[in-house]
Amino acid sequence: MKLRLLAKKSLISRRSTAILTIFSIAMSVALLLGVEKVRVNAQSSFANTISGTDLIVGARSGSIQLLLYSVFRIGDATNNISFKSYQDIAQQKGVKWTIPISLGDSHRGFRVMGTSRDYFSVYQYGEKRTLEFASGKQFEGVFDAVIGAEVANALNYAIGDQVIVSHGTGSASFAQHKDKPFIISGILKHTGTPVDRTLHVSLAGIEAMHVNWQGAVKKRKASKALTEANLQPESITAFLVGLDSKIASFKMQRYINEYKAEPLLAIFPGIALYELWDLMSVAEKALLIISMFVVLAALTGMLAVSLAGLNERRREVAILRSVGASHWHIMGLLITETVLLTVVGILLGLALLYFGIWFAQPIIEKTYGLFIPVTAPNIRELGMVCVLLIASLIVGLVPAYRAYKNSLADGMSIRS
Amino acid sequence: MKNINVTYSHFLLVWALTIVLSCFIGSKAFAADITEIDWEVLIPQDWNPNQAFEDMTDEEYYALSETELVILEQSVQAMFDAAPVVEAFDGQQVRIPGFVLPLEFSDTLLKEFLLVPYFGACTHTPPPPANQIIYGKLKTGTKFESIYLPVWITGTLSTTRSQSELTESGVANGVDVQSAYAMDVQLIEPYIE
Amino acid sequence: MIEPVLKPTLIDLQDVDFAWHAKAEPAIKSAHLQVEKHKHVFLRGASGSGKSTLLNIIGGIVTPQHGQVNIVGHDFCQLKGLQKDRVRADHIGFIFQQFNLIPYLSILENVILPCRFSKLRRDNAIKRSGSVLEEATYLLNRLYPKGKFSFHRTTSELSVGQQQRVAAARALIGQPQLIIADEPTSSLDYDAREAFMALLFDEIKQSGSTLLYVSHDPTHQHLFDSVVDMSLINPHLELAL
Repeated sequence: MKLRLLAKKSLISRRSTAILTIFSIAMSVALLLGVEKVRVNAQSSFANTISGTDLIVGARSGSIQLLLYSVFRIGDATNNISFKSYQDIAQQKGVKWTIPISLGDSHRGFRVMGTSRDYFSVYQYGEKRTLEFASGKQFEGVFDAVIGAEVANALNYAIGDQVIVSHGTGSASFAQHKDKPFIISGILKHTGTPVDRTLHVSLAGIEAMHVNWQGAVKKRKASKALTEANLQPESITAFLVGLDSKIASFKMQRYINEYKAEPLLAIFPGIALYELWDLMSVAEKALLIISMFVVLAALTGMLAVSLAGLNERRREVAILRSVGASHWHIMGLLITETVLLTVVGILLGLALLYFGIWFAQPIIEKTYGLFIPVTAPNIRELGMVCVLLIASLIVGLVPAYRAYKNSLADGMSIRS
Repeated sequence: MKNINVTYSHFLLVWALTIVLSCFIGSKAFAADITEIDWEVLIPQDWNPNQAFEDMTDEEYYALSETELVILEQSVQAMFDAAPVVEAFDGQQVRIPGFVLPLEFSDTLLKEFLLVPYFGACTHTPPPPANQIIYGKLKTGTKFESIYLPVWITGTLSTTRSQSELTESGVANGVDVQSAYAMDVQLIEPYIE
Repeated sequence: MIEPVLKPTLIDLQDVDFAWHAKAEPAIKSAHLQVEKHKHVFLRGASGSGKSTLLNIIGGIVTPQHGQVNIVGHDFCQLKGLQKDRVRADHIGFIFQQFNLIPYLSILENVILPCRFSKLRRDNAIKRSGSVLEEATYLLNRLYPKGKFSFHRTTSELSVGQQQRVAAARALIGQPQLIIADEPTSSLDYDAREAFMALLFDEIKQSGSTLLYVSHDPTHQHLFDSVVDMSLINPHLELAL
């Protein structure tokens, strides 16, 4: 098609401005689609982390907070719950299973979680998927540890390796439980959830670590031996509950919320998740609006460049008119240039986006537990691209109309 | 030759009309099969957990001690938990409005939920009786925006009963009775007044 | 389908009035012009005499407010803009005084431009040389008998004389019926001018095109069949001045 060829040649002759325009569009597209991708994947990352759990119970705090620290390992609990309360509730009629969770320690930036052996057979994620072992098996001895796939990858661990656990959940800790190393007995398969970034040990193991510690300070003289009595946990951070009947969820939740012995909070994971998404949606909307303005800025820049160059193109238009180009041809040429720039900009933007995701993916997963897959654009993203293309068409109408008006006044009089 | 063409196109026309008509009628029939219900009909007529309170006079009520009141309320609550279902709804296609409590997801799409008659069922005490809760399951995940807005749920109800003993009046005799409404959900629509 | 009326005159302007803006003085008033087929007409006129306007009218770029315009058998007053564009593409080749070429196209691409907008000229070119590019190369070779440069080059490096010859090749490709040249040699030096005129006439004689040559320089008048002065065509202009 002659217009496309002319448009292409015309843009190539004005490469430097064309490349700058393409770049600005590319960056705005990468930003817009990047924000959308992060939004969608953050939501599904969270949704995929927990499945099949009817209630999550922790010390009384906010429901979102409880969800975040117990399942997503983000943030910390304000208080623990007594092991006695846990046992009491676990034995209630209607409770099918419970998984205790004990947090507070870490290993080289990865969280250490104390739990029961049932965890590996009962815990579900995604769509009712249970955990699988890539190698090894669950803990049996007090100092056995099962690590997630990401931990194994990042730190290059294998079965039998020793790990030293640190106190606190920071990336570094100067209070280390050096005398009680753990031994890796199992490595889990990749799940795409915070499980991958966790080291799992038994509750006894957590207790054993803290025996002879008073707060964060190790006692000089070991006053307690590692007897079974001493390894009974006194408190846990939270626990997950599965019930015989989902209908009974309300009754159990009320029971736990009104539990007399200590202040507890029981939440529906689904509701807490929606509350979390609600919270995030404000930020998401803001980001989306900002991105759209960036796109608008890029389009405006393109328009400015196009309009600025119109004057020196009056000669070119007159020549084209003389060889038989109609006004539609002229307008078509200018619109084609605009759309062509936008198309190339979009393609470059997509390339930038995917390269960026590929590059940052492991870092983001490690730091935030957020997995952003390199997938093809979804409907919403394609919709955004289409809207951008239509916008570029409309933007192209402005210089096209200007050129038409100029041509009416110029005729074939070639002004210099 | 011409005659054959005419009859052939006539045949096509009649065939097409039949398809269109039957679809129309079929959809109407389908629509007719769905009963719109409200939550009250899900409660069996003969079940009244508040009987004890209703039978009491005002004087008797105020005469109750703290502990007596608690015990009474607890027994009512126990009845709530063990509420019976209306068997007749088993297999029925219904349409009922309510609020969704999400339970399971497929990515960010909703797959399983509990439907209750009012918002905040999990924060109100006492929570709704078991026959005012529907456990809904979707075959394919559906986008679901807000737990704060009511919706119309359309689907096939089923009633389940766990093995247990009931007295004649359907009151639990101390053993946990779990009856429940479940639904194969076909459609979720926003509820507009 | 635009049906041309068969007439011996290729250009027939009767009583044409035209003003560029509604409130401005008309550039052309009661203009008359007739040019027969295959003739070579020298149109003499000073700057401001309305030459450019006349060419715009003949080319169908603008529509006069009053009068009859018949070009290559088509009544321009009856045709819509798109239709006039087509007539111009099919039947008229223009050569301007300067800045004839599109800077971002190569020499060859400039020459074949009319064939992109006219199927008729495209077919003519293919008929004569087998392909549009070959026809363009043929014309360029004729106009540059001593030229040793590649025709794929951009036009920015050409001298003015060379550019004018490329413009001539573009006007000639596909053998349009009418060639309109507006001061094509004004920017050339003496030698280049002579060479240009010789080549142009040679080519026109071969193709049988009608030539309307506009200039204020009478040097080459003798080459033409007839000489017309703008004051005759546009009689009221002196009064306006």
